[in-house]
Amino acid sequence: MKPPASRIGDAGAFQGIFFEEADEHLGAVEKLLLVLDPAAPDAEALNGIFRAVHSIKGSAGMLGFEEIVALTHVLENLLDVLRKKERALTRADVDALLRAGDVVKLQIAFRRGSHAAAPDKEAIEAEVRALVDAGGAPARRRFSVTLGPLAEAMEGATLQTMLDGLATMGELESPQINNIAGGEVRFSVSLAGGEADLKSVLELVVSPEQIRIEKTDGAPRGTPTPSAPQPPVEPAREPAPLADSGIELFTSASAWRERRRAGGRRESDRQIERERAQGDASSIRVSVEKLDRLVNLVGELVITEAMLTQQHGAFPELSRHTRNLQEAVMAIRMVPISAVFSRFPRLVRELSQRFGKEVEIKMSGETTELDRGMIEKITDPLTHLVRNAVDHGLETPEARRAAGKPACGTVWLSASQRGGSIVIEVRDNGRGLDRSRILAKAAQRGMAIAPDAPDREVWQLIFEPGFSTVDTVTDVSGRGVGMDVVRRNIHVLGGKVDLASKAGEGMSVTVSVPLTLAIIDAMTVGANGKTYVLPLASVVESLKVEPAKLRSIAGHGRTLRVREDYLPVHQLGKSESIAVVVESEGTRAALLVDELIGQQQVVVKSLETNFRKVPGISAATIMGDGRVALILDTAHIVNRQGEGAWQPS
Amino acid sequence: MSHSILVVDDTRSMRKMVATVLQGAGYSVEEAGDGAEALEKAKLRVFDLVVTDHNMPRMDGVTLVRALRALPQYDHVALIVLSTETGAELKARGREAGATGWMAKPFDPQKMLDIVRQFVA
Repeated sequence: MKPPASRIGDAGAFQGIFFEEADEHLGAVEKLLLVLDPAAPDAEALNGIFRAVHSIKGSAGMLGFEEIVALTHVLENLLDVLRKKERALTRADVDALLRAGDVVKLQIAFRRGSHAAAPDKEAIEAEVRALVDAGGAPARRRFSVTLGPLAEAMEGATLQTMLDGLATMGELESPQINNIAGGEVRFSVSLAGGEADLKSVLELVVSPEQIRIEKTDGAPRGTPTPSAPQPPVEPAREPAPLADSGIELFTSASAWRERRRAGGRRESDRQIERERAQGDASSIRVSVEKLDRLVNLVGELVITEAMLTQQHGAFPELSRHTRNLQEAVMAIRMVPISAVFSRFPRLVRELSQRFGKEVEIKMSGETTELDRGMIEKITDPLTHLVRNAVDHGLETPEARRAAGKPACGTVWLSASQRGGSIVIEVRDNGRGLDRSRILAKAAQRGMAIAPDAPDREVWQLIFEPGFSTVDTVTDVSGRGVGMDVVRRNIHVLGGKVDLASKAGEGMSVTVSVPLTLAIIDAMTVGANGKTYVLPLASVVESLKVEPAKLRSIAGHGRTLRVREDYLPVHQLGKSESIAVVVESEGTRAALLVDELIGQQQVVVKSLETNFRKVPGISAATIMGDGRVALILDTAHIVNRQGEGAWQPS
Repeated sequence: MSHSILVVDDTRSMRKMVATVLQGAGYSVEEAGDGAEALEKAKLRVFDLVVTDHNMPRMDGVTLVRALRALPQYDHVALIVLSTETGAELKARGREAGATGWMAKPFDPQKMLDIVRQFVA
């Protein structure tokens, strides 16, 4: 095999990847072609095929496989005609594409060295070209062409010959000629051939880098209309594009650097600099790993202290110091919530501009502190809520005025600490949730809800996966990855989300999360001689089981009747007399345990880092007596629909 | 510390070629297989420059450029589109979205490095 004229130094490594990838692409193309229905071709399938061929062409070009470029290029032309529905797909297209795919396969095999001779591509190339132009009268395609920037002025006669030549090939329109060094020649032309034909003519007069051809969509078939769009007129480029080479810069590097120097330093950079300047003497930077290690060690100490107390009685001094030390260490990890809040004014400003809304943001409680790990995890859900408020909650200024409200809407963000939790509220004074639309959407999605259900239950629907009442998907919100993800993320943190809304007056979403993820309030239970830990946040109640309320349902395991509800039952131990009702994301289940031990704070130890991930177990902790107890993942257990009862293995 | 560059292309071989050219010049490179993945990665850390293909599944290059420009931390990061498509209208859309430049595929490695050097300094 002759070494290809690769553009990239040592091409060997990429060739391997390219061959493999091209095979995958061709395989995928074939599969798609075989299921393509000529009567009703799937647009996404055609796009997929186009993209695969396009990918092969691009990489082949870099590797200098010109014959592959040539063939994939005509395939791309045909696919472009088909995916833009310039004419209907026929059986002949599919056949030709399949055969062309086989030829590309052989070309690749040849380049790879596993096929002796280069396959003949001329026949299939001609066939595909013919198909590009097939469909009754040859479709005329319109191109807008820009030649330039010219290295130097062209000879007038040459230019005229070219324009005359194009006029004989098709319809030439609105030439704008600026035939000087650095100038450009622009015109539109409609002709029967493809882009390649046009290019080959133009290349007779100017070098390929100076040719820019844009295919104008919705081209008239047959005869061009006189009112055809003008070629896009770009404003004069500030910096001249680099003289050659198909690179066009929209900003020159020097202007770029200037801009960067002027306004370029980001607010956050400046803030860091300010902090550095002020804080040199009074604070130091410490890596997060060191902090985590410290928290861990203190956790161990707390456990040791508990063990000592159990074996030798209380040491009040030791207990107090340990507790103080623990609090002090946790305080190091605390970060004011302004770390998250500070990004919202800018976000709100940008969103309001984008949606043409007037929005003011008011924040309070920015100094409320919470654990660093928690800060990272609530950033995304909060961002989502703020976006929702601006995008969906608040109305346009006109709509607000019409409703008798001030044109400028308001988004409030507030944070406060309540006990061991941080409560964050995102509130707006927009239109509020639309009850009828949510109900309609629910009906459409086949969700069961009574039309006269209380608001609280209706609002819960928007937390369902994929539920969105938004008709147009913007790139900001309304993609269906919405409130359900927010709620799930908050639940993972051991927190909860509440929602209140009043039509015409706005809505409010309240998120409460624990101060820290390192220590949780827990209920400890015994089963089979082992101790299990349940996060207190997920425990609803514990009760004595009346045997009559425990029923077996064929194929569905057992259920426990608790007042009006029948809850799935998971038996952890031997006894059937005590049940703990747990809840996750609105779903409940009953766990049968042997004994209730008590409530206490436990230090969370990740099972994944210390052992491995176990379904139904979220983490472990070490009890006062030194034994390891497993913390149950209530979300997992509650959501085991149809998988039978969960049992500790 | 070397400058970091995010290379976005759904074609693995093309991505590797771009990455290798840049790594060869001492840049540290992260790769993404489409615009959506790139956007995720770009949110996790701020790159010094982004080179992106245009025609990709899930999210195309021009949309990625627009999304990145909407992030405050990408205000002053050069975003370069690298595409076989070089139509004037598409380029104008790229420019309007906030792209810094448009480079045609196949590309000349030396010229790519010239451009990159000018914009990461």
